[in-house]
Amino acid sequence: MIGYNEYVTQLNVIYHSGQLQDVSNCEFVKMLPGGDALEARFKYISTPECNINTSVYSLEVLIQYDTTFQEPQLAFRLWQWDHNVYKLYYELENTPLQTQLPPWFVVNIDLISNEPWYIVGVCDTPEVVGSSALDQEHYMERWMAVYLLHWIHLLPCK
Amino acid sequence: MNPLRSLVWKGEINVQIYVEESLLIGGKQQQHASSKPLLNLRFPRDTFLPMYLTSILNQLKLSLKYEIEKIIPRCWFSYNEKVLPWFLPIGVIFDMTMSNDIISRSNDTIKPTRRSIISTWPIKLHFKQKEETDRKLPYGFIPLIAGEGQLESFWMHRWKQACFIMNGSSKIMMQLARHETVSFWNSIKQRDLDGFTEISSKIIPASESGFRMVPIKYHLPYNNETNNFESPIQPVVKLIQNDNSKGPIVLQDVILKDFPDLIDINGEFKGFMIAQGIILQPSDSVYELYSSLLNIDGFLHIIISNS
Amino acid sequence: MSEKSLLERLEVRNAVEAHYKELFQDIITLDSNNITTSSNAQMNTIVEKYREELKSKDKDINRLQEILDVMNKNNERLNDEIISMTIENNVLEDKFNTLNEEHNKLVQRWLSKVQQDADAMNATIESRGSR
Repeated sequence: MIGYNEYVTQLNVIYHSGQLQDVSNCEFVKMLPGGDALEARFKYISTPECNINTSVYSLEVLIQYDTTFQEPQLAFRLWQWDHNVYKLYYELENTPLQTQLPPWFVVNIDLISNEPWYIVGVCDTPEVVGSSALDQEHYMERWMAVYLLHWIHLLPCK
Repeated sequence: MNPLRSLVWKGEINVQIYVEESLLIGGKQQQHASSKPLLNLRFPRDTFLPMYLTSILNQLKLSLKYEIEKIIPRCWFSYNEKVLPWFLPIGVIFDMTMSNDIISRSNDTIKPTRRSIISTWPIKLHFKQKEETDRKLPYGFIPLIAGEGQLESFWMHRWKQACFIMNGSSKIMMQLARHETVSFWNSIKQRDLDGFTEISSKIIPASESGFRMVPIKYHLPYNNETNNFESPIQPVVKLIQNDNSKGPIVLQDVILKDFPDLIDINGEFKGFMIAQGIILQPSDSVYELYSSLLNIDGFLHIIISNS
Repeated sequence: MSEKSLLERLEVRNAVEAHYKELFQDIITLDSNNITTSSNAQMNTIVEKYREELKSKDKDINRLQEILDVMNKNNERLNDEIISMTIENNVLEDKFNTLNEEHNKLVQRWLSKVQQDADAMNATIESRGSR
């Protein structure tokens, strides 16, 4: 659990540290107005085994604060490159991305600003990240490592 | 068994299903096809629309242009061209769109049960083909891509939130045995109130003093000016009085924190609050309201109209 | 508004919302009512067949629509060409008319000059003869 103000401070530290921007397939990182949510895009290319056609995607990631659970919340959605434009792609089940996500993610589709996003379940965050009393100062850094960094850089992008 | 719970559970509404003409065989040739209801159905209030989508489509099968499996992930329902937030309980969406009817029927002091009133809810089924590039999927649309499992997981997540709000942790939810979560979901599908109460009573604190907070969502009624349904407001509602005054926390105490405009300069309460299709009184006890009127997702959904 | 207990309010709700419920089919029993009989199954195969046919007809319509679009474009282009030809024709006609007029004038002038010459010649011959 992390208080809102502490969350905002630590999120900004991460944003300015450049660790997200340094991920090799990162396209951009943006702090949203209000300073309490981070948006990032990562390139992702999938080549299905039985298919010669590769699909080019852009994985959009949104980190925001869940006021109910008082925890950071990870949301994402997939854009597919199609006829020179990115189109929103819902059928996650049909992409190999499903296998790239950590198996313990509990993913639901829900609305954020009236648009559908895949949202990773928040309620078991304390068990995943470790007790906040442990090292409250680096809570967000730990969260970021476990929820995002350790799998996002493994996405194929060539 | 609480007699109120069984009355709430038995609530049903009359629904008229219209279908967008482009979805019907020969629909474009006979444009009137979409202007009359194709199905008249009676839905339990406390269920979810997507649960019945397959049976609805099966009924329409002979008139549909496309295969049912193709339609399901790319279809939605609308009321007055507005996409319905179909992951809310049906009764809640009904109350949001029909709040004026509910208010006017409650003012009918002579004999509200007289047969001349018929309450129907017209909703329309839409579909967008993958190949259609000139039309976007509408805002507020949640695609059904993983069948019933998607709905169950969404519903479970709502209960985890509700559990956290009531108890300060979701541990109770996590500790439910597999067979318990299965029977919990089955109680929703099979409309089994006893089964529902058995599991929900493990999650909901047994007494008023056991509540850390009460899981409530406020909704604004549907109105013609906005394009989408507004996101609900989730208030912080505690059951302990701040001062030493006695007596239970009543609805007015909590609702004015988020809607101070509901009281006029004379201290008179104006506006309406609706839950489960009935008008709530400012003097109703919040604890009693929650334990009697809670919806299947663990929340008490209140529609607030300040007209 | 009268203060009614929750129980009364719910009873009224259930009574009002049940008016004319006989006109509405219960969603829960919907599927069990729809047991697939053999004639129904037959119907399904027929509909399936027609749906396939409809799909191919839709494709045909799209293809023909595309052809029609191309034809229409050609048609438009030809129309444009006709218009430009007409304009050109008009210009040429004007030019022809002016030239024709000029030509006529020249012929007229030439004729009158020839006449003059003939008259002068005649006059000379006459004066010699009378001498």
